[in-house]
Amino acid sequence: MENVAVATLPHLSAQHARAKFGMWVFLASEVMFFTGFFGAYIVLRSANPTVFEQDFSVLSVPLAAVNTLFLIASSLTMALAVFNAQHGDRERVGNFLMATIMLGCGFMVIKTIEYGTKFSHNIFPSTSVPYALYFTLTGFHGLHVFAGILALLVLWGRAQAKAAATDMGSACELVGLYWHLVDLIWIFLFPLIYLLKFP
Amino acid sequence: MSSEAKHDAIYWRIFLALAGLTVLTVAASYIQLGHGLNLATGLVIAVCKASLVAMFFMHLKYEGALNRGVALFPVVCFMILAGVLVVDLTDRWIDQWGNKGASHQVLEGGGGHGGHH
Repeated sequence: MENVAVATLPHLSAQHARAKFGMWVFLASEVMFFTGFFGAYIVLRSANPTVFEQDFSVLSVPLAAVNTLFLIASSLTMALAVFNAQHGDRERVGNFLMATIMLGCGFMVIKTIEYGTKFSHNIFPSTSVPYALYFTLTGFHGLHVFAGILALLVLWGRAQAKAAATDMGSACELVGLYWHLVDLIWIFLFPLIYLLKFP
Repeated sequence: MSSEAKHDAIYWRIFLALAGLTVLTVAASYIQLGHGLNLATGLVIAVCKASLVAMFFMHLKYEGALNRGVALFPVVCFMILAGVLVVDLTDRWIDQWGNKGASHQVLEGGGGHGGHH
């Protein structure tokens, strides 16, 4: 019974508080990881704005905009999954986790189409510095989405197996924090790579 | 924690705000405001969206000082990095505008796709 109370009221669990602190430290390290790339972006783009302008102009704004909406919607379903996990509604947790996984997969499918179009036009990371940066930033972000989908699948499996009711709320919130961060990084990548025109 | 713990309506409202801001940032990018203002608009909207995600979806609004501090730390680091870079680059831009021959074209001769050929 005590375990159920822990799942329902996670802020009472010292173990969960420590786990969440650990997750925040990990997320901070993730932000620092991307900070390096953003630094490279600032230096390289300002060094030669016209080349960036020219190369980035072929990137698809509609595809990226749809992908932005996918990630935002997936953040909503993730937040709702966490909310229901903390209120003990296991079935809805499973459904919202699956919705999040589907939206994440939708993002990856569009990203694959986007990359496929670039490759078919002979645009590769080695083509130019702007494209190297484009593939590096969106590629590492895509890897993070992929890792998030794997974590969500594990979580979804646990929700289906009705295992360990105790830490469903805790695990859900931790994976949720990671998923929201992936969304948050995309929120900056989207305008910086696809929208902004500098010269 | 009180009202947030009972209702999930807040998440739907945040989602609608994020979707609205996404439409706004795409629309704003098609309006020629001058490159400085376009950049500022894009970044301000991105910061607003990121704040909404962090505060409400990631519950930072309800976190204690420790987790807030951990979350803020890399943001401060990024601002220091970006600030120092901008100071350095502004100096180079002035140099570039002043003497066009001595431009800092880091990419020149690097890729082959740059349109210099």
